[in-house]
Amino acid sequence: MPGIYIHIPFCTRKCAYCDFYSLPASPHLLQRYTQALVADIRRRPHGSFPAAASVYLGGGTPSLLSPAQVGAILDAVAASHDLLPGVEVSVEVNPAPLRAGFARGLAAAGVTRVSLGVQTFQPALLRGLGRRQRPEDVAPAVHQFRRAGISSLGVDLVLGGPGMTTASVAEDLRRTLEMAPEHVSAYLLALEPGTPLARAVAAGRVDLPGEDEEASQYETAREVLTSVGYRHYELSNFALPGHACRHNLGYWEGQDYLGYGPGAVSLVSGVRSMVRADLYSYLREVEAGRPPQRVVLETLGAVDRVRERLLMGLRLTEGVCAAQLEAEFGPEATRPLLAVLQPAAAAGLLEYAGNRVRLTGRGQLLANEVFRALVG
Amino acid sequence: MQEKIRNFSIIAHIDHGKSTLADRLLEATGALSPREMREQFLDKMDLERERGITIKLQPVRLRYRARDGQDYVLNLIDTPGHVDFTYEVSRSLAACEGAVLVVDASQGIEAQTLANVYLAMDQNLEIIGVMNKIDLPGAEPDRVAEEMEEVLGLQREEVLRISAKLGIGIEELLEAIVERIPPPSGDASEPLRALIFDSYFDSYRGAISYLRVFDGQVRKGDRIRMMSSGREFEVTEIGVFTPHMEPVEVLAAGEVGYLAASIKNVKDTRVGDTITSAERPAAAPLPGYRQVKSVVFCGLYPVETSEYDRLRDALEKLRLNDASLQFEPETSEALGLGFRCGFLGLLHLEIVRERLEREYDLELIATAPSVVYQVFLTDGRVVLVDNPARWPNPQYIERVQEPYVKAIVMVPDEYVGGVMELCQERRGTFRNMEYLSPHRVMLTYDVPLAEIVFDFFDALKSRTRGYASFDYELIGYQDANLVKLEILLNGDPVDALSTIVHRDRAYQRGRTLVERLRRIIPRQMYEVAIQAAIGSRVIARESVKARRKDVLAKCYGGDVTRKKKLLEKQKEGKKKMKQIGSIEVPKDAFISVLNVDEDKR
Repeated sequence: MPGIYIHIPFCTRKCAYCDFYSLPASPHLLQRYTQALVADIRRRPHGSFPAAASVYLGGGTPSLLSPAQVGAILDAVAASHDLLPGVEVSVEVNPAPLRAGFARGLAAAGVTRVSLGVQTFQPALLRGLGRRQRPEDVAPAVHQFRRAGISSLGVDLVLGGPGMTTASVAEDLRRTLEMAPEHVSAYLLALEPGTPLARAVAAGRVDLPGEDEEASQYETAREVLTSVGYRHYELSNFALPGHACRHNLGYWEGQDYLGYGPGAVSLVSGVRSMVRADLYSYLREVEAGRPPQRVVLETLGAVDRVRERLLMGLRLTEGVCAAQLEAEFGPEATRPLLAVLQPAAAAGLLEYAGNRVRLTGRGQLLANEVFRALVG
Repeated sequence: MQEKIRNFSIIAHIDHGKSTLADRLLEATGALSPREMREQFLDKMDLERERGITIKLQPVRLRYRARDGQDYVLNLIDTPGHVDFTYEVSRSLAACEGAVLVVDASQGIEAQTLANVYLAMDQNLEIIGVMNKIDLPGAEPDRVAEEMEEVLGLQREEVLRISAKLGIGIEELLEAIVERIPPPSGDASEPLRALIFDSYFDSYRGAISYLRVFDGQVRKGDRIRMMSSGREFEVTEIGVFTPHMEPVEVLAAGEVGYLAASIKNVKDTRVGDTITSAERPAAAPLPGYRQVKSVVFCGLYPVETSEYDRLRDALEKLRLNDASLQFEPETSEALGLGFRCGFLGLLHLEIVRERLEREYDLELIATAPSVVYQVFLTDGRVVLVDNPARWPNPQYIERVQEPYVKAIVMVPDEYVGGVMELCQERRGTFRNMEYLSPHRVMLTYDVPLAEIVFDFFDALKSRTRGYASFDYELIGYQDANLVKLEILLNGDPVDALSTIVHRDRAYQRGRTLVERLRRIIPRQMYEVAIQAAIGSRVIARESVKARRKDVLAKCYGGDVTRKKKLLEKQKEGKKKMKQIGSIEVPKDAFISVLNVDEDKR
C-alpha cells in the first residue's frame, strides 16, 4: 500500500554512527519548519497520489516536535491526501523523559504507532554509539504510551556495536521483552563512511565485534524473538502477528511512496526523486510559495523495477512471488533476473516455495551475496 | 679534431648527486638555455625521475673553451646506476677514455660505486675522483679522500672537492677532464668500427643507435653492417646530442652520436655490437659484445582474462625499446593465459611491470620471481627451469644446480653482525671481510641468487637502517638440495603459487606462506583449506573460515539508490580478484610468496 514519509531533520546531537541529514534545532526553528511542512503538504506538490495506508514521521528526531506540531502536520496530510481507513501513523521517538502530556497528545493527534530508538539498555554500550540517553527512561516512556492508548509499540535495537557481545545482546533482548513491545527491530550496525565511528574504527581507537561475533548476535536475536512468538518478517524486523510496520512493508513490497521535507525520497510511477537535503533552501522555497527543489535520483524501467522488487522483496521472510512479478512486468524483464539468482539458490542461500523465492536462514546473514548478483 | 675530443662517463652511487652534476655541466658549458634547464635533464623517463634512479643512458655533447684558450668537445655518456644494468654500464664505459667518479663527501664509497669503478678500471679508463656535497654539514672530506685513496688507489690530493648543488668546483672539474682524460685514439682512414652503447625505438625513424666511432667514419647514405648478425641497413640520419638530437654530415673516429637506418626493431641494434661498413667491412668487431641473458623470470597475467591481447601488445611495444626484455606466452591453470617474462634483474622486472600498469593501464598479477635452475635428469639430459610450474617430477631428477652470486655489502661496523646473520640465513658462504676505514666494513659472501631475489635488499635495509650498500655479480652454478613447494587451495595445487626452495627451509617457508595466505584470502561462501606440500606430503595447513555475515541490515525507501550503488561497488571490487576454481584470490596473493621473510619479524 502506498505510504507517506515526513522527514524531521533535527537532532539535539548526532550519533556516532549516523549519516542521515539532520541539524540541531531551536524551538523557533522547529515551529518555522512545521509551518513550512504544512504549507508544502497542503500545496500537494505531487499532484494526485493514491490513497495511503501509512504515514511515517522519521528523522532526525521527530519527538522533538510538540504534539500540536505533529497534529498540524497530520492534519495537513489528511487534508491533502486520501488516507485509507485504519491508516497506520508512526512516529520515531527518542527514549528521553517525555514532556507532560506528550504521549497523550501524540495519540490525540492521530498517531497509532510509536517506534522507540532504544539501541541498547547498557550505558557503556550507549556511549560507544555516541548516544546520550538513559536506559532507565525507556520503561516510563513505554508506560506513558501504553496509558495513552498506543497499541503498537516498537523497540529498535543495535547489534554489532562497539563492545557488544552475544551476552550483551541477550541481556538487551531480555530487557526489551520486559517492555512487551509489539515490534522489535534489531539492526546489525553498518559502518557508514565519514561518520565519527568509522573514523574511530579506522584509527584503531574503537574495536567492533568481528564477523563471527556479529553473526552470533544476529542469530541470538532471531532465536530469542521467534521463540516467544515474534514473526521474523524482514531481515532486521520482528513483530507480533498483525503488527508488522505497514509503512516499511510498503518499501519492501515495491509500493509507491511520497516524501516530504529536505532529504526525503519519493517513488512515484517508477521515478525516484529526492527533496534537496538542505533545510534552509527548503524553508526559503516553501515560504516563498514555491515547491522545494527536487532531484531525480533514478528513473526505473521495467527491468530496474523487477530488480528492485527482488532486492527489496527478498528482504522479507516470505520472499517474492515470481509469478506475480512476471504478471506485472512481463517475462522478458523478469526471467533474466530470476536466472541470475540460480547460483545463490544452488549455494543454499535461496529457496523456492511454490511461486515464491526467498532467502534461507543462512541466506539471511549472507543476503548481500544474493543482492550483488542482481545489481551491476 | 680528434685531439680536442674527450669522452667520459660519470660513475656515482644513487643519491650521490650524479644527475645534479650532469645538470651543472650542461649549464656551465651553455648546452642548455636557462629556459630549457629542468632538474635532472638527462633522466628522461618519468619513472626515473620519480625514483631518482637512472635506467637509460642519455649522452650529451658539450662545447667547452678551456683555460688554454682552445675549444673542446666533451662527450658525456651517462651510465645507469644499478646492478641489473651492469652490462650496459660496461658498454657505456667502453665508449669512453675517462670516468668521473662521484663520491658523497659524507657517505663515502658505496658497493655500487666500487663495482662500476672496477668496470672502468678494467677498461683502462682515466679516473677523476670527485667528492660531492662538500657544503653539507655532515661532510667528512678528509676521511672520504683517505677512503678513496685506500680503496681505489686514487691520489687523495688529486680528488676534486665540489658541490654540484651550489656549483662549486665545476670549472676545475671541466679543466681536469680536458687535462687528464686522453683524447680518443683510432684512425679515421681505417674501415668503420662503431660501438653501440644504447638504442631506443622512435616511431618515425625506427631503432636509433647511440654509438661511439672507434675507427673510420660514417655518413648519411652509407650501407652499414651489424657485425653480430651480419644484417645490413642504409643510414638515413646521423647526428650528435646537444643534448637535443642534431643531424650532422659525418661522424668520424673518436666521436659520439646517433645513427638511424630505418631499423624496425631494437633487436637489430644490440648494445655492445659493432657497426661496420658493408662496402669496406672491418676484419674484427670491437671486443666485449655478448648477448644479455635474463636472470630473473616471472609470469605476468592480466587480472581480466580479456586483457591478454592488450598485454601482448604492450609487451611488444616495450620490447621495441628494451632488447633485454624477453617474453613468451604461458598458460597457468590458475591464472589462465599470460606471459613468462625474463629480466636482467629485480629492478628491471619492477620497472617493466610498473610501466605496463602505468603507461598501458593494465592490471597485472605477477607471480613470484624465479631464477634459472639447471636440472640434471636421470636420463643424462640437463634442462633449464625458470618456472616452478615446470619443475620435473622429482623421481627423474638426479641433481640440481642453482645460480650463485658474489654479494658485496658495505656497512658501518656496528651492523656487521646483523648482515652476517642475514647472509647466513640466506644460505650464504662467507668469503671475506675487510675494513675500508676504521668504521666501515666490506663483507663478501657467496649467496644463491634465488635468496637475493627473495627480498634480500629490503631485509638488508631494515637490518642496517638503510646504511648498507649492496651489489652482486653472478659467479656461476653450484649444487643445491632443492625441492618444489606447492600450495594447494581446497586440495588443488595452484601452479602460480609454487616455488622452489631449499629442502631445509621448506617447512618454515611452507608454514609462513600458508599463514600469510590465510590472512590475504578473504572469507568466502565456503571454507577454504590452504595447504603447503612437497610432492604428496602436506607440511603445513591453515583454513579460511566460511563467511558468516554479509548483509545490509537497513534498507528503506530513502536509501535504496545508495544501497544499490554500494552493492555495485562491492561487485566491482570482487572482479579485481582472481577466480581460482570457486575461490576468489586477491592479486596480491601471488606476489606474497615473495615476502614471507617479512613475517618473521
